[in-house]
Amino acid sequence: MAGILVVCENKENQLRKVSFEVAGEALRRGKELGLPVAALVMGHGVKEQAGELAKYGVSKIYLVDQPSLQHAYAQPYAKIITTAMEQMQAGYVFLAASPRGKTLAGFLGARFATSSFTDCTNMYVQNGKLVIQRPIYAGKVILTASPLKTPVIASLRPNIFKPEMSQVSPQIEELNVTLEESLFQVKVAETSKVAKQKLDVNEAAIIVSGGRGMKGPEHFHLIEQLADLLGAATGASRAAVDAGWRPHAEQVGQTGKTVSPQLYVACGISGAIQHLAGMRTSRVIVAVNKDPEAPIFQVADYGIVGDVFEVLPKMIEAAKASGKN
Amino acid sequence: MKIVVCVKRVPDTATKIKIAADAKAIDAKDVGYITSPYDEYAVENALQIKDKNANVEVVVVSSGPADTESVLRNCLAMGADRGILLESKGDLSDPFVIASALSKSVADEKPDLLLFGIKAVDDDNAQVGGMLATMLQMPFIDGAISCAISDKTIKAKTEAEGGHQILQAAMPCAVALNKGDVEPRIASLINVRKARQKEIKKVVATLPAPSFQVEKLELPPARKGGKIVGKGVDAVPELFRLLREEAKVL
Repeated sequence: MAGILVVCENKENQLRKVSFEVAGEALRRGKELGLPVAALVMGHGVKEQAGELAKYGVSKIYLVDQPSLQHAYAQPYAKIITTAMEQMQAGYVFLAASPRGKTLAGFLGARFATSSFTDCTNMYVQNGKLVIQRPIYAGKVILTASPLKTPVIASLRPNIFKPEMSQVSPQIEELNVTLEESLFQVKVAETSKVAKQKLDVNEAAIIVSGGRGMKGPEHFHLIEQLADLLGAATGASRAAVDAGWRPHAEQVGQTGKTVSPQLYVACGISGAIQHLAGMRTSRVIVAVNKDPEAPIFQVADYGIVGDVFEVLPKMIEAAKASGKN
Repeated sequence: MKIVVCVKRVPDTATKIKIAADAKAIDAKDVGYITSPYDEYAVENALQIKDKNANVEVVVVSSGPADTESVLRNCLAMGADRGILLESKGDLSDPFVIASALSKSVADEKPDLLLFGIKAVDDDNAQVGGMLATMLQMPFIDGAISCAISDKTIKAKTEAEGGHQILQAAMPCAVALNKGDVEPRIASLINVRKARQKEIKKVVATLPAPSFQVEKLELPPARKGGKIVGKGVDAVPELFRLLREEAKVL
């Protein structure tokens, strides 16, 4: 029996929110296609996490819990996914379009001699077949494609798909997968610990971004402060990253990340075509810029024309006040 | 030792993309082409390894239409030693097709180190590196911001949620480069001239069947023109009211 396999991803001691979103889309498409859905949870000490899926309508869970996975890089996970796919005769495998999900999708593509669909933002069933939409050119263009091979491998963009909230009693099946030494050729030699886990721009519901108008790295504490108060991730324009003010991990745009948060706040960002491509699918866009002609205002739902160094402190004040309500 | 770097010709990121009349491809008229920016990080990283170590050969490989040669010449001008152009007219938006096209020529080179950009900025697939590494049975490190060799080992630095991780593997190994630690060099005029004399081997690529059918390409829906809430600090309370009550995002 064919089915859809959902590959879950965990962060520290819990499953990532995006995994519930991916499961939700798999359940909806599975219903239309008449296919069962199973989720795969893998790692070390992840048994308890698997139970969380019960709230999200997933009734079948494959579990691989092995100590060797504690510091493992991508290769062993690809083998586990392949084993689970064989177990359920999966015709579809859905992953998160996270860095790891994309890496694994490439491994699986080579293994099954097909292309994976990266960063899908919409899926529907037409004439009994799955049709996939995904942005290309960093969102300047939307591609609609029909898969011609099986299995269909797709990674789904975070923050786009809705989880299915429904309580079930899942059947959990532990898979026995032999992970041979050759799968551990890439080793983690060092991990620098950071004092505070940063929210990733790819998964954040709110992003506060700064650009050239911030005039220097010393002023980004304003961006960080507002982001903290809103529970947001901090982002940056290419200009701010190329100037060395911010790390590339924060860059939004064609040579950075393409994001779709609920709220995107652009501060001192003029709105180059590459930046707009990367954030235009945000649900609500706010722009603060002193130039009323800045292209960012053409995509912003709400704009304030003004000096970021005056407006940002006022926004921080307002965010503090609204936090108290 | 030998480093092979896979590069792709892509439309300039400053290009305003238009869709062709049949809605199956982009309108190639008025499009200027560049080396995909992430691939330049890979070339630069290869050249830095070459600068620091004796007897390193850097070979650049690309699959694409005949004028992809200009992208290879750019890499040769940066300092790569020679190029291989896999001429193909087919659709190069299908990552399995691209990885397959590259696989034989790259395997024949027997690279110690195989580098890619983390993704090509046209189709944003980010898949060819992992696929080709798997096909050639090489360990693969994705999204490194820089890598260096010592003895027979590659050490790659990656960004991991607010911190860094150093991953290591024995060579031969494949690594996909992200932006971060290396700044691609600009070729001098002398090197641009020298690059004209460097060898580019041309091979006709055979492509496997596509993995998907393009139904259509379209521009994303235009965002409705927003409103200017106001000027300066006085507009902030109204902005927060709108975000709370109208947009309901706070």
